[in-house]
Amino acid sequence: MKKRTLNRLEHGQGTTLVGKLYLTKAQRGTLLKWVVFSLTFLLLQVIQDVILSRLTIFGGCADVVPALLLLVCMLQEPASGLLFVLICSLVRALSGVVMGSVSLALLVFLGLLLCALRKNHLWGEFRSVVLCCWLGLICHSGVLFLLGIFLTHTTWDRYMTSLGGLLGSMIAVLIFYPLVRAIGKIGGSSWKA
Amino acid sequence: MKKVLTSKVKFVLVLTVILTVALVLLNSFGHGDSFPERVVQGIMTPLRTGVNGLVQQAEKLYGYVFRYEALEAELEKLRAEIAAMENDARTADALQRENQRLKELNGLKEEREDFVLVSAYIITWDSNDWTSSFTINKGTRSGIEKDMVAITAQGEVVGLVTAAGSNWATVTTVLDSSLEVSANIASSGQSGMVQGAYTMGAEGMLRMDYLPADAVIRNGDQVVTAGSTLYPRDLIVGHVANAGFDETGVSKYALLTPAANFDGLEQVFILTAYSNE
Repeated sequence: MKKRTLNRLEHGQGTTLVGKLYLTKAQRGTLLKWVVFSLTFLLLQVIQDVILSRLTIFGGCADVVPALLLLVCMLQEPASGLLFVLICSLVRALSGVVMGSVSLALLVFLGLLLCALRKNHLWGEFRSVVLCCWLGLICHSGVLFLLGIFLTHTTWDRYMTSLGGLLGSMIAVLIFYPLVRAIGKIGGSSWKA
Repeated sequence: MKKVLTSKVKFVLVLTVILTVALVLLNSFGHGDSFPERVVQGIMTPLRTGVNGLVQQAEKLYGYVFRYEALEAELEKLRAEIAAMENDARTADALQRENQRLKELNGLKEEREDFVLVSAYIITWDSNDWTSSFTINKGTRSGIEKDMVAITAQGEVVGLVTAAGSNWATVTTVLDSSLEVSANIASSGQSGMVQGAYTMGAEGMLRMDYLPADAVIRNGDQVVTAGSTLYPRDLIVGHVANAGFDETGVSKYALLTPAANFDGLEQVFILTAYSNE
């Protein structure tokens, strides 16, 4: 057994479940950060299902969870952010969200493209993140609307309901930005492009 | 783009494609009840139920705090509507009873064409124990004068007008000991004097005095007015409830149950004119 590990055991450290994993402080910080992100996603998804689904803007219901996922993707390291988006989108799809499988693929690929866009072409953290998220939401909402028309789930004249939902999601980006940024700082500073 | 497309990112993209295809196949063949969907829904449902409960409590509190005045105003409005409806119901009941009385009066008018009647409602009752009188809502302006007879729609004697104003009149009932009515037992024709029996210990009853000692009096016999300057003939006064010899032992008396039901009396008819022929 390593001397350091022995030393820890002698001092009573490493006896909790997390402690037994012998994580460094930075690793514990990262773990905590992603746990908090996950709980935030879970809470927001429940609030979306129970409360926000009853509120409408121009007849459309705002879906705020993609806003959160894209923000996390923008403000975290790409691989981790995309993996988080993938897992959360999978949970969303399995919880009964309409066209969840398409939404999953869209959010991951859009997340990747927007990360690259932000890294290579945009400056300033707040503006670039918000712009990228808005672009992502417009594409996500547009593709789902077009797919809905293709599958005859909706019609062209229902575009205002789609726009209303999109407007709500875009406002959610501005609301969630400080929250995601604060959570992202747990365990260290957030990823900068 | 190359800097973003690390091996980890590529792994995530491959996983995305696999999961997307898997979800599409699941949706196509699973019909929404696959094991992964059941697991996720099973975890989400209690959370949704909990949040829903909190939302309902918050809505109740919101309603109590912010809609209290609106709810109070709505309550007052509903109370007013209920009161109005109750009033309508009472009016309907009263009108129904009046209709019934008027129908009966119509029958009486056909029997006694000489009767000229003025209807009036009782507005107050005398609160004395030893007198029995009430006030009606019509007076001299309606042709009602003192010493006119008050009857019911069925022609039962109620009493006599003892005071009259322009728009009111006091009627002393036959239950009052001060009023005397000359009457006959309808079956035998025996005549006597009827007055209230309150002072004789039989409250709510009438006593018919000065009946002959040999008079045959049966319980249930109808007693009617004999006809005088004050009372027309053959108005029903009451029915014999008991009979016996009076204190002198020379004549008989009869205790009568009044024909008019004073407990439920709301409307009376004043005989303003009649013929005693």
